[in-house]
Amino acid sequence: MNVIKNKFSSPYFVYSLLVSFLLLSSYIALFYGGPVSLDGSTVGNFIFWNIRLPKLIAAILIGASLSLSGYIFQTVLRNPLADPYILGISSGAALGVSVFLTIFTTLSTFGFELSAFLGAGVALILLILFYRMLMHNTVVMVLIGIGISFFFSSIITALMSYMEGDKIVYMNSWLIGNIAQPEYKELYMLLAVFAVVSSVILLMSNYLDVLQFGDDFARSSGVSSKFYSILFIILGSMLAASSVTVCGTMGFVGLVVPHVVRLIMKEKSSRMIPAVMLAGAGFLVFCSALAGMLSFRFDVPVGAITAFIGAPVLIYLIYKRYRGRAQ
Amino acid sequence: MLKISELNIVRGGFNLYLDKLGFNSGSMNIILGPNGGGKTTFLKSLAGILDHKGTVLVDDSNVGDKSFKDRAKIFGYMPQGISLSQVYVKDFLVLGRFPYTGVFSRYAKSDWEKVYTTAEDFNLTHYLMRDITTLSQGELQRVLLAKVFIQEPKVLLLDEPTASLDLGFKEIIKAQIYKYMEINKGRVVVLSTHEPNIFSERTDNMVMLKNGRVFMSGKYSEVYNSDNIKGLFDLTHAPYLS
Repeated sequence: MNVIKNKFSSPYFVYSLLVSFLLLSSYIALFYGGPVSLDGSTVGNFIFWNIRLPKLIAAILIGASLSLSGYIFQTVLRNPLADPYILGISSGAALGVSVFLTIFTTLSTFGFELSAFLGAGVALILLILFYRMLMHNTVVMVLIGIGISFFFSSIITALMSYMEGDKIVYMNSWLIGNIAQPEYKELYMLLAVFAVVSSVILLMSNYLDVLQFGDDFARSSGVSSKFYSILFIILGSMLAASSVTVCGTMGFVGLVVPHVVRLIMKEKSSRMIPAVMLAGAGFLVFCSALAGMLSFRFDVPVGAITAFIGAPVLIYLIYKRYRGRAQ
Repeated sequence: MLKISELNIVRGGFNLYLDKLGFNSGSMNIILGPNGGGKTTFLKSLAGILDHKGTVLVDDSNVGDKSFKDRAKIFGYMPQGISLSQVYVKDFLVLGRFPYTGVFSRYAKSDWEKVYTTAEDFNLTHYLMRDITTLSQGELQRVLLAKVFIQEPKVLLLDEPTASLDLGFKEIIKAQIYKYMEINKGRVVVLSTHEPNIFSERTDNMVMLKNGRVFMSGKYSEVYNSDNIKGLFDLTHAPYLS
């Protein structure tokens, strides 16, 4: 077996590159990530332990969750546009939250997270129902998801007119996606969902390798595509829902990160998944640090930064891929 | 060895109904018929891709009761085309071993050895680290056929394996199929094609499908004649057909 490997695309080289990026971003986020510098004083200590560190952990977990979720959706649905944001899962969670905020007066309770999960669940059930009704046509799924997403957004906009001042400000920043001041109980929830779901996905990664070649190929290779597609969609949605409850509807992480990773390595899923999670974590930590540095009168939501960086990267990737292919 | 009775599929306005069909152990069978006649539907239903009514018996056991993994050990399906993702050819080929994997579907060393020996046999060794999306049509067809061989099914379902290939690649594909049948005695090949002449030396039986029904079936030498072809393709005026 004489197989020449390019060492720069070997997975371990990519992993170490991504780990360094994550460490560097984390350092910036911890020590330079905001208008207040850390000088070892009591105030500095308080900011470090109660603001910067939880924010960093949240950014790592959310970045990894959202990008893994996007990778799962893109692979199973064989559509480069699929991610929890576009498929309406995030909008479902946002709808749940806005219904909760309209009915109840308190901002931070257990009901807030529950309503986000319920909303995401409603969106997911709608998506799967249409998936089954449309003869498991994965291409149409994305279009249905976009429809669900717009429909939910219209309800959210209407509900927001019934909210009071501070809730509207909160809702606005939440709809763009923001990691404001995560509490430790939120971090435990993020960590629990991420640890369980990502381990299940890693254990079953060989099913993903078969599914990515389409329903016909999967079934004739020994995989029940109907069952496993839906299973993976549910797993991906769980990751998205847990993230959205903490940070709101953050776009572009789940969409762009898997594409960038696919550009630098073409491996089977079990090797792609760690890279996708590392890259997502690094990207969101970097964006969150940048948001902290740019904040002046009020917090710049991280979602604005992910979109500011993510959108040009997406356009560049599309340009690079389709350049010269135009008819 | 392979017995089909009352196989029935309805897809949109199309209906495939095959009353009775049998394929002998070690035989090479060609499915011939006009486009839209039901060739691909037939192969896909055997492969378990399309749900169907009726019974399919292989060595007297009912295939309908089996799981997808067990079914993939019996039937290997080579599609006409496939929606590709960017992976190395070796990581695509090993998917042929998926039906033989355990709970978490990890591939054993023996699975990879099967991939490497088959690739060597196909002269594909230097393609193993190539991105599958960059292959030419002829190279891709060989990879798809190699994947089915790596799957080691009892029945090979090949859907137009030589379509849109140049003469050289057609001969290579043909030689690989014959070689596989010689080494693995008792395997059944069911092959749909628009060019039955390519496989004339080895073909045992022919099934002619038209409008979802068996138009004619039997020994290749008896069935494959100009009268039947005229009927099969509705040729009222074919002065050069001999």
